[in-house]
Amino acid sequence: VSPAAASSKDLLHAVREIVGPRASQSPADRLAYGRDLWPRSLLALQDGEGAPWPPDVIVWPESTAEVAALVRLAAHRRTPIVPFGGGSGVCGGATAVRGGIVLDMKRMDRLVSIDQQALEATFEAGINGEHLEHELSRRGLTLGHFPSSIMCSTLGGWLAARSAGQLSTRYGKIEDMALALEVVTGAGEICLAGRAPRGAPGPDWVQLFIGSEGTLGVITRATLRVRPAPEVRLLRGWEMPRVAAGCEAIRRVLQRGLRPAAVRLYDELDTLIHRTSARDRGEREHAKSGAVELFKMPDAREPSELERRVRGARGFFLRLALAHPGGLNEAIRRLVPRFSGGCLLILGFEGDRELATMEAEVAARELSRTGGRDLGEEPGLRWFEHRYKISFQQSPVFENGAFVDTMEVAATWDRVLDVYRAVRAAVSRHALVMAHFSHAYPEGCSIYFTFISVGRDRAEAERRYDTIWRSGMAATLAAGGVLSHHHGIGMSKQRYLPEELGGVGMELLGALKRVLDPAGVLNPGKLGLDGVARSNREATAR
Amino acid sequence: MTQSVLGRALGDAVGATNVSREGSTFFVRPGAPPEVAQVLAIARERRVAVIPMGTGSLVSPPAGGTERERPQVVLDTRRMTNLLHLDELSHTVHAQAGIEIGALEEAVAARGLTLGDFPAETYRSTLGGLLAARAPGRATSRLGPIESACLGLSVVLADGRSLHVKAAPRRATGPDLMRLFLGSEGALGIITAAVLRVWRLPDSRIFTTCALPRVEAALEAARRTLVRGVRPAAMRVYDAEDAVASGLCEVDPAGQALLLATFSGHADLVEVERRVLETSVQQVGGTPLGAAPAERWWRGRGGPTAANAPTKTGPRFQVAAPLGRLGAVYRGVRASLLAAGAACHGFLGHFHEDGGCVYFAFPRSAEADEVAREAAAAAGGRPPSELEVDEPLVAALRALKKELDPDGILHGARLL
Repeated sequence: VSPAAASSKDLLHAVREIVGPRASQSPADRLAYGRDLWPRSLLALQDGEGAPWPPDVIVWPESTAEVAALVRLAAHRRTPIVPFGGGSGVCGGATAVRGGIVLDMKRMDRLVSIDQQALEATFEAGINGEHLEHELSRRGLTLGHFPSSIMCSTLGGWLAARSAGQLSTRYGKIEDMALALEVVTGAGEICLAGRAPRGAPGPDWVQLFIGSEGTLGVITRATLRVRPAPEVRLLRGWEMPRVAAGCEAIRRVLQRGLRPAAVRLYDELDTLIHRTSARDRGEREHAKSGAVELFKMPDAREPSELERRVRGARGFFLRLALAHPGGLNEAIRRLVPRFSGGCLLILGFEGDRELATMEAEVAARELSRTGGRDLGEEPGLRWFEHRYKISFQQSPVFENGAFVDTMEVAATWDRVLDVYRAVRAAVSRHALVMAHFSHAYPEGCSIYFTFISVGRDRAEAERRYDTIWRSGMAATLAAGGVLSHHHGIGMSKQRYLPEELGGVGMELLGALKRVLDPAGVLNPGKLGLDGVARSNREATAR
Repeated sequence: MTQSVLGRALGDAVGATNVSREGSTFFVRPGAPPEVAQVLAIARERRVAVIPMGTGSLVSPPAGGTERERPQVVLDTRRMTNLLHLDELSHTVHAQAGIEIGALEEAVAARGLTLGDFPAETYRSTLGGLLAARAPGRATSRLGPIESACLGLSVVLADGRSLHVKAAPRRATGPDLMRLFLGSEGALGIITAAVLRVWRLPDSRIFTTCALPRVEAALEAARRTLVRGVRPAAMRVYDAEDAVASGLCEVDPAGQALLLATFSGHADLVEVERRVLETSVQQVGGTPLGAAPAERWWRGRGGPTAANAPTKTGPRFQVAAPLGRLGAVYRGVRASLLAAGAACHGFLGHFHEDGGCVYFAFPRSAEADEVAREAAAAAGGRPPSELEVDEPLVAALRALKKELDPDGILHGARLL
């Protein structure tokens, strides 16, 4: 028996002392927990490589006390321990890159308490998003948090990764909903971070644990602000002449003090693909992001032989075109304005019937003034019906030998169009790129780029993938945007983080890490913490 | 090390005219962030405590008064008053920390913008002081607390280096590092500049006053209004006695509680918002009385009815509570104080989705405060607490302080 195998057996034995049989080292489990949904690792999967980062053991705790005991064990043994929710992250954040323990939180999924009067609800962190929303909607309530991953992500994951839902403009992002957190620190201590009373001194720990991506603590419970389910939902589509006019309209609506629930502006290409695909399906089907539509067949039934050939031919031409994205983007740039009727803007209001109706009316006046054309309810309703699809639509792209990923950045209004143009210019040499603008604020919004490309083989695809990210992130920073609006940093963006936060910002992150996880076992290899944590340990040794 | 040497070093850093001395306390007024860093370097080298001072009203007094054995430095940011950039497209303002809120509001108001209803008593407070204290600040809850309007921040750390968080609507790039400093009263670093969200000056501001059978009914009407998504610029609730005592009421509300509200924003929207409130009031047995008392309160809100204004019996005792607990806190604290022989008045205000505040006036003493605190906590309120209570987090804060300020030069008496 090799020393590694012996130590792995020993680890299993040790965790079983805490959780009994709820631990596994089976090859199937190690495979299943060996990656998240970072598209770069899907390239490896496509190439037949199963799990780039198989953990040594997967554990399913059922209580905060068990989580604390497991973290203490990990700290004592200096074994990495990685909290894992739905595994739907797209930045490699929930991966055991140094092996060790994966802490699957999904058995901690209870509604702990709910106060209908105070509109507060406490859940265990492992609850699935859709289940959480269901628990609330049964009681006439809503959290108002609807990321497209809602069916495959957890509350703990939302908090750890600083998630934002599709209706964030009205209901807020996850950090606006969290009133209190129960967290197990890297020392295995259970803390209760509450909202500090106003005027009381001290940092707001809730806001420091949110976004820590499992590196500062394991979130085990959260108390959330909940709201009554809306009386009405008023969705409409608008046609804006150009991206700039669309952004201007959104800015005016938000700066008017209106709080739309849904705000989404698709750029010309994204709009065109939407429209074409909707027409293909007789207006019945409609996807959230048009990009993946390129790869889809008209319906889901088993394709006929003819359809198989059509699909094959389409795949072939697409791969060919994607191999030369510069020319493709240029052709699109010239052709799209001829076919496109501008940019589609979805705007929705909800809540109190009277108030939402008036908000929608005031917004309509602003949109008309900025050159918008009312397309009626239909586009809005279509978007709403298909709003979660993006999370389940990547497979066809990968099956065609191509790859797709999304890059969500943010900027204040003075920079939004600069960032949009700069990223498009940088990425379009390497990929087909389109974008929509969403998550609007009075001071700015996020830009959600979708890019599709292809490589002759895995090595070329990975090279191209990395080039796209490198050039996109560099363009974002140079134009004054921030690296990520709501997907987080994880592994994929950590090399760009020092430029975003600065050296001092990175060291502050390192200081938090040393204080809360002195053994350095919580989710190592993420958030750019390795460098700063190490450099300071050296400094301390000196 | 003699104190005159310290004084000379500080004078070299910020200019001799910007240093003054009272006993062993040096008042230092740096003119720019690099000078702040230099002052901190001097303090570090000589192990001298630094007490940041920005807001007259919120400054933590130098420990042990100004006559101490060991010298200390009071760092006054009020020379750093530049408005660095007003972005009228993004509705943000970037300003140095020493600017007074009143001056900043005046500057943005000239462009049709507002910081959002800061009460008059905060006008002499500095921007950095309000942020460092995470002060109650804004009179209204429509726009949220000041930290939620803070989009970017510059801080000089104890070691003299600077953190710059650039303005962004939102970011998912790890924990929100600005939150380390918002509320930390300068104990982890000195805030030198911030980017704040600003708003259009409201097109319209309207008022309503409603009479309700009891305080509880007024609170229920307020709760129903807020959960429907209405965001009044401000609301106040008084019982009959305190309504008359406050001087807001022309007529005796005849044993009824008063709910005062003001709405600001788009003219069409505020009308709907007022209608929703008045409907809620009628549902719980109340009657709208018209605009007058609410308007009088709003116009005079910097005066004696201001929540932070001292009363004859001392400063008001504030208790925050979730919306569903406010009534119990209001009754419970008054009953307990009465049982202990202390007369107690109060009103409710600062309503927002997460709760509201009860402001009590009673003859303040350590014993009376303790009675009030216990009663408030028993009723589900969050009475003012001096410190974070969660043990591991208290320890974490201490450790963090040691990481960021190993020589312990930044004053953190209240924090640690």
